[in-house]
Amino acid sequence: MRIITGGELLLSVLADCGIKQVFSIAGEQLGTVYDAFGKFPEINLTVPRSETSAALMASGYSASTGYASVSMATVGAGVVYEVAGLSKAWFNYLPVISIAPQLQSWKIKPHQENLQGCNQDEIFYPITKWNSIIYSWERIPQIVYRAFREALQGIQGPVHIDIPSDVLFRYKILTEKKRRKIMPPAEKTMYRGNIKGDPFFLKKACDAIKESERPVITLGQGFGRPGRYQEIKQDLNRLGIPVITTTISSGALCGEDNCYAGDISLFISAASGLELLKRTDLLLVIGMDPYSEHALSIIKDSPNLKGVIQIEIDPSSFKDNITNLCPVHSDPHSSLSYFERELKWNETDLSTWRDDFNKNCDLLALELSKELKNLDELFDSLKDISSCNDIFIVDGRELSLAASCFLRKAVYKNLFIMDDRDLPGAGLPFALGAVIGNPNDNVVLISDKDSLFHHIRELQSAVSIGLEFTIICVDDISNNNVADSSLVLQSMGCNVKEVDRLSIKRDDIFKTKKNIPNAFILKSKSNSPN
Amino acid sequence: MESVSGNELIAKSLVTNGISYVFTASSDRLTPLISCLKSKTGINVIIARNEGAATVMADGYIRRSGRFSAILTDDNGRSLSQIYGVANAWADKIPLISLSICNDDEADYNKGFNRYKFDQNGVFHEITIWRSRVNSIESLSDTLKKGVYESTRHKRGPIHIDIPFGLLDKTIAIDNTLFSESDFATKSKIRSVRLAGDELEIDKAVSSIKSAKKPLIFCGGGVIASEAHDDVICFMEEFKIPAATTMAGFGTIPIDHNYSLGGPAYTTGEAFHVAINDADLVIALGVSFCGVDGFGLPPLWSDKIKFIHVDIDPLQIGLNVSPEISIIGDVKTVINQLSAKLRGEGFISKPAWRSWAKYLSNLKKGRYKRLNKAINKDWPIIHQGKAMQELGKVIKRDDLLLVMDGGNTPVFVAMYTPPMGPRQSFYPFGMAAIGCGIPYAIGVQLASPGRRVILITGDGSFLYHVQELETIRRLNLPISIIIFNDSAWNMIRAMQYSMFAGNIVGTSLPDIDYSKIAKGFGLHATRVTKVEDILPAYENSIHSSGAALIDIITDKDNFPDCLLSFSLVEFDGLMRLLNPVKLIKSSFLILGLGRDRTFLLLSYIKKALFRINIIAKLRS
Ligand SMILES: Cc1ncc(C[n+]2csc(CCOP(=O)(O)OP(=O)(O)O)c2C)c(N)n1
Ligand SMILES: [Mg+2]
Repeated sequence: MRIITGGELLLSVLADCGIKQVFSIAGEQLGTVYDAFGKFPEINLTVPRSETSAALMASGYSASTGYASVSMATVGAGVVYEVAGLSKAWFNYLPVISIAPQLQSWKIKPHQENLQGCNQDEIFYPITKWNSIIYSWERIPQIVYRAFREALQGIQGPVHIDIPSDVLFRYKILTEKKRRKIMPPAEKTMYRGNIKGDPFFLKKACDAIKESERPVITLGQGFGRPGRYQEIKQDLNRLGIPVITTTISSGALCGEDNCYAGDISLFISAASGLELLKRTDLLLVIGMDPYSEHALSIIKDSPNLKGVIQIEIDPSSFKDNITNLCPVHSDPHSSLSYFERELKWNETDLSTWRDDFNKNCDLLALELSKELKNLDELFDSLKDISSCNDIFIVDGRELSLAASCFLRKAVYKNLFIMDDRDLPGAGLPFALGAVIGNPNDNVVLISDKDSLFHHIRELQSAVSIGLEFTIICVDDISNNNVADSSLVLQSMGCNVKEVDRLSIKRDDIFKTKKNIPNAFILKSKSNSPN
Repeated sequence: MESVSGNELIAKSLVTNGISYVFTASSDRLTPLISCLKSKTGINVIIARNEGAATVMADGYIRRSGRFSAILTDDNGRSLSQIYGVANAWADKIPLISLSICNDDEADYNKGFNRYKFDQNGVFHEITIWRSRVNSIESLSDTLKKGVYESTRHKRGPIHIDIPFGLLDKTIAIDNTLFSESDFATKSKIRSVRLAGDELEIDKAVSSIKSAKKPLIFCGGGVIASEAHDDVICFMEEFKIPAATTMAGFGTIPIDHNYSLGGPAYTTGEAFHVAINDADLVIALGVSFCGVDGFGLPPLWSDKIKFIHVDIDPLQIGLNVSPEISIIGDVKTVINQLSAKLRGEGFISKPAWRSWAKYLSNLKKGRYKRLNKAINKDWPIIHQGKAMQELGKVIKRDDLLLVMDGGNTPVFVAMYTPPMGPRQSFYPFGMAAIGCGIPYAIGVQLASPGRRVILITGDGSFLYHVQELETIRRLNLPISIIIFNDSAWNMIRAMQYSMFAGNIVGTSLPDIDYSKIAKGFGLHATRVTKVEDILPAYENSIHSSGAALIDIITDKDNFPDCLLSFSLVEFDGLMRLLNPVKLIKSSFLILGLGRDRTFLLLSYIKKALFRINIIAKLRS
């Protein structure tokens, strides 16, 4: 029997759900939640320097660990800062649980000109999978479990919960009997098994693959559901069909994977790339919208295409207006390992097609490198020194394009490309989330100056917490930014070195001063100051 | 007839709608529109380092200048970066024109696979007073015009327009006479809607004023919007009625005016508390009776008060207080109607009002004396009030342009502020979103060419937009940034101290030398740890040519006494939910802060919350 506040109850549910990390800035209405943190040593609280970063760090944490994470912002003011950051989780299908206090439940819906009052749940509606308000103390566990289910099941994405401050402040006696009633064990509140798929469609898909001579796989966001990442990688390599990643799945595969052809941007940036795609006779779309522009660029008037197989965990995303679509409702690992078992392929069966395809991709990459100023040099040297303990995060338009080409041949644990369409400058806080989530790996952020400056304050958080990671800042002098990046980064407490890009060595990057960020500034040669 | 592109059409429409500043952040897709604005119109385009900052700058520009400005961003996350800036404008009723590019596709309200088809306009729904999505190039200029009109129709507030990307390079033939320059001239200053009050209601108000024993004027942000402060002061002086201001009305009545109760709302201390308990009639001018001002209701306000509520928006009437008499109209017009009527009836003032005013004035003087005495004690670490007091010595009141940011910091600023007028001090009171100080300072400075802006900010808040120091530097703006560096998110730490038995979690900050960071950005910067260094540092910064920063180490154990009043409203109904053991432990902690601090706190409780002050009463 315990006397506990709503805030403490909330944290104990989060702890039961396996949450190890919360990103949050305090506020008055979060009083009891913060008061209870001390009772949950397993939950680490990180305080960034803006709520936007809190959500971005949570996104980086989630993306790099595969676990859900929590971003907590105070009523109104904190929430409105959080919105842009949470949109990153929305665009990138990341299971970020956003929790905010609301004003007293008797003062909301509608608001009466309260300080910081607004219908914040509705602000979140368009950019979350699900959102809700917890009006009663007893329902805190039930609704938090629900939030986890909504975020993690099917196609993942962020969710938001509002909790009025009186619900958080109220304390009640939690008897053992009551606890059993309102708080079932977390592992029983969510399905955690496989989704094997319908044998009829699995067999149909398998037959189609058997028939096919030039199959191609495109990989979307669905590749990385928790715990499956490595398995899917193995499946794909055993299957041996050339795999194309998209911006969101770039980094799922790397130079070690013989099935990896390259990123979609490689193909759509050149006519010859599109030609290459048109040779495909069967397309497997895994965890991705067959109607996205990327998939469509292959599907649309491809003369050789005989069919499309869509493997998706969420049946609501099957489109019925694609001809010859074979919808496989299953998780990627289940269906891929099924194919592998049934096909009993030899390594050589597809190797001619795959090698030919990959060779053509090399040519495409070479072509593209000519357009990309001197960035190819940077990535070439990174390629030579990277290892399977490294996590790369790339931010900035040109850098992203270059990265998706050149890191094809590199070895790394993970690579995240910040899509220019999402939120500019997300890279730095995202990287900090990755550092916090992966303390044993090397995190390298490669960013242009403009992007790095968006959230540059977070360098100070990194220094305060004592996070060690590497920043490679491509200093583009022409972008209307008069600050001297070396000076700014230094003044924030980073260890800064100006380098010539050809001279980057692994020891430089990873044998570093402990517990502070290391920054390398590369002055861009092609730009002259104006 | 002339053929123009979507980009040119937007540029022209912005000009004809009286928008002279456009704030944005760099984005490839906006480049053609930006260069069109720069080359074909006289609009000033300000590029911030990120979209959120740009939004706050636009808001700051409007608050200071009373002119329109717009924020322009690309789509998706870039558009949503505006949310906090727009929310500030919404909560404080600022007519911000917010424009975003959006996806050409229709939004997918079923939240399907393609997350870029989200309802961008919908995210703005709760924090704007009007929004729209432009559907065709033909409707573009009309939509803009309508948006600008709606933002100030009667109640003011931000509006948001989404423009599909595909429209930007479509072309259309337009009749050029539609965009005449004369339009521009008349609209460039946001026009106040000069609505007159109903004569019947005015009559009722006059007779109730005449029969009042203890009247009080309460000025809100509406007085600033209506530019009525001079008229209100005349009214006060003529009829000798004391006045308080809301947080948003800060500056409408200078604090050194005889009939002013002091700083805004509860920061005034006992004078405000006595006034809102003893008054029998409150004349509320452009006031929304919001949370920070105590809703006009118990526990802060007496429930026996009769209200005359003057507001331009009928929806504000009856929202929190239920006034005896309500007048829908523009403050400036109505206050003149009232004084004309009173004068016409030969009314001068009432003798009883004099002792009422005197009593409140004594309370004000008593509080200032007590506060000043406290800060001039020999504190080992600089007192925030002292740092504030010194500022009054280096800058003339008419030259002051003060932006505040933080938690306790703005409360200290309000308590120790030097006297000044309206549109000289800036803080987003409604949303109280910390961290917006730097971009507000930039917006305010751009609206006041040649004048220096002082930003006083907490250390936690300072870093939110630190990247904009680059913008300050690039534009070479005369802004002095003063940081009250107490190594804490101190308003929240104060709560953990006084309500959770000193269980300080997540509210401590390391000792960071912010002057070093400012130097990294190329600003002049110093760190001040001793009282005698404050004044020279201020003088240096004020006489420097560009931007400067002063990092003042302040004492985190100083808590503004009036936070007590704030918590009464903020934690209304929550106090009784708190753990009593923790509350008792907390009060011992507070006693441990020393005799001087305890004395201040106890006097506040006695004089403001219990309103016991026999000497002041006797003297009146
Ligand atoms: C965006 C936002 N996040 C959080 C809060 C809650 N909050 C109010 S005051 C405060 C502390 C501010 O610290 P600082 O800027 O150092 O000012 P101080 O109180 O120390 O003077 C916080 C976190 C808020 N009002 N707005
Ligand atoms: Mg502080």
